[in-house]
This record gives sequence, C-alpha cells and structure tokens, in this order.
Amino acid sequence: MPDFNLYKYYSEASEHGILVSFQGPLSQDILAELATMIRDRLGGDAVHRRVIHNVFAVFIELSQNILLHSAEKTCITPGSQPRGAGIILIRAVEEGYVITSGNQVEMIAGEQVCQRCATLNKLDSAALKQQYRRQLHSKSEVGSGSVHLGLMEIARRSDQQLYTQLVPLDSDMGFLKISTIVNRDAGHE
Amino acid sequence: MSDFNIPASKYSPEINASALTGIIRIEGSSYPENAYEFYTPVIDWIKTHLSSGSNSLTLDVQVDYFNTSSTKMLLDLLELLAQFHQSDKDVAVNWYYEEDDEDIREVGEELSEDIDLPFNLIPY
Repeated sequence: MPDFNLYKYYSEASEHGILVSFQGPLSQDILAELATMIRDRLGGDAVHRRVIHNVFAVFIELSQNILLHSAEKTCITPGSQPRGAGIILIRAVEEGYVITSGNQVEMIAGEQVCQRCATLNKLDSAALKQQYRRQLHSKSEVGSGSVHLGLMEIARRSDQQLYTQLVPLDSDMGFLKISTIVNRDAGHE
Repeated sequence: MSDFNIPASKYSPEINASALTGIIRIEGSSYPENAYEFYTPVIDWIKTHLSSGSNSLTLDVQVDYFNTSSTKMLLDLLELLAQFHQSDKDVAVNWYYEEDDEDIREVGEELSEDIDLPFNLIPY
C-alpha cells in the first residue's frame, strides 16, 4: 500500500481554509446535506445573509453540474442510476469564499465551457443580468440551456470572474476546473 | 378535478393545490435534480384546473431558494398563468419573501417585470 500521510493531508486542507470537500459520485441527498451544512456553518460565523445565499447558490449550481454533466459516471449503490463524479471544495480565504469544482469532461464540451466563462467575464453586472434574462426566456430545449444559465447565475452571484482550467487527460477527455469567489463584503453592495 | 399535493423534500418544495379554492401554494427550497420533471405535473394541474370551468387561480410562492432550472420552470408556469390572465381568467401571484431577504425579493421582481400578471410582492 503506498504511503499516505493523513496528517499532512489534514493540515494542508486546514492551511488552505477548506470548509467543505467532497470527492466522488454526487447524489441529491449528499448535495442537500452539504448545502445545509454550509448554511449552518456560515450562519454560525455571522456571515452576511446575502453572502451565505451566494455561496449556497454557487455551490448548488456547480455541484449539480457535476451530478448531471460529469463524464465520469459511477453507481453509488450497485444497480442504481449512475451519478456524475467529481470534486467540490469551498475554501475560506481572506477576501471571502472560494468555490471550486472539478470533473471529467469531453475536451470539446470543456473548451465550450471555458469559452463561455471567458465571455461572461467580460460583461458588467447590467449586461450579465440582461443576458441571464434573455437566456431564461429563450425556448431552448430543457437541459441544453441549463448549463449556460447555471454559469450566468454563478457569475452573477460571485465576483463575476470565473476561473477555468482544462487539463487534457487523453485526446478526447479532460479534467475541467471551475472556480470563483464570493466576496465577504458582497452584503454591503 | 382533484387536489394536488407533493410533500417537501430537502431539495424540493411542498406543493398543495386545491380545486375548490383555486389556491396553489409552493413552499420550501427548490433545487430538484430535474426541475422539468418536478414542475410538469404542477403545470398540467393548472392547465386542467383553468380549462375545466374554474375561473380563478391564486399562486402563493414562499420559497427561500430556486436553482436556475427551477427558476426557468417557474417562468414557464408564470407565462402559462399570463396566457390565462389574457383570456380573462382571474389569476394572481402572491410572492412572499422574508423581510431582509433581498435575494428572493429580487427574483420575484425580475420575474414580475417580464410577465403581464397581477403580482404581489409580500414581505413577512
């Protein structure tokens, strides 16, 4: 068995301010438990209500993105419906809360997400709101438009900068990271 | 026409619709895995209710969180109500938000701006 230093893992996680870390196949139940924990924990820290809402919303959108769209599917129990697997983290940093997701994607899909995020990053909040509403009203097929809408929601609820990274795993598949920050002072806008 | 009831789960709201009073109430948190699947029976109930002789419907919404796919379904539902409103049905929406919950108030405001429907924003 390769050596695994649990204490090193733990202390590094603490050093990086990790509040929530989940890796594996996601289900709605796991997601709801984690979401409740985030609400309670941030609520206990006297964080502004709006900040809690924003962290919660970004967490849900990114987690459901993994659950529904990760290219890596795993059955939680034998015979059950396969669920998207990946990793989701929330870290407390000086400026606020960093929410990060990572999961396997087809390279083409991953590149599209990176491109969409880059486009959203160029919009100011008024333009973003306008695009969000346009997308909300568009008669896109159920599901196809939801990723786009989810990314817009994340951009609206965060500091508007979505950081993406796509690491090629082979010629077809990659590992997509999406990360953003909800500022601690967002409640005073 | 029968009533329609769905109990709340951790990630989906409780829904109670009464054929007698024409009041449909959505209460809780809304981030089901498949919002389309979750809200389609609600939309169907409303269609049947207003097409089978009933002239009035009040939608009470008291939800503390909608994910984006739920928001999209809710908009579909409101657009349906607006259509009935245009054909002279007595339709109204009561949107409840906790007094200091700007988020939910704003979601309600944004939705109401785009829909031609009596839409009351009610703090509690």
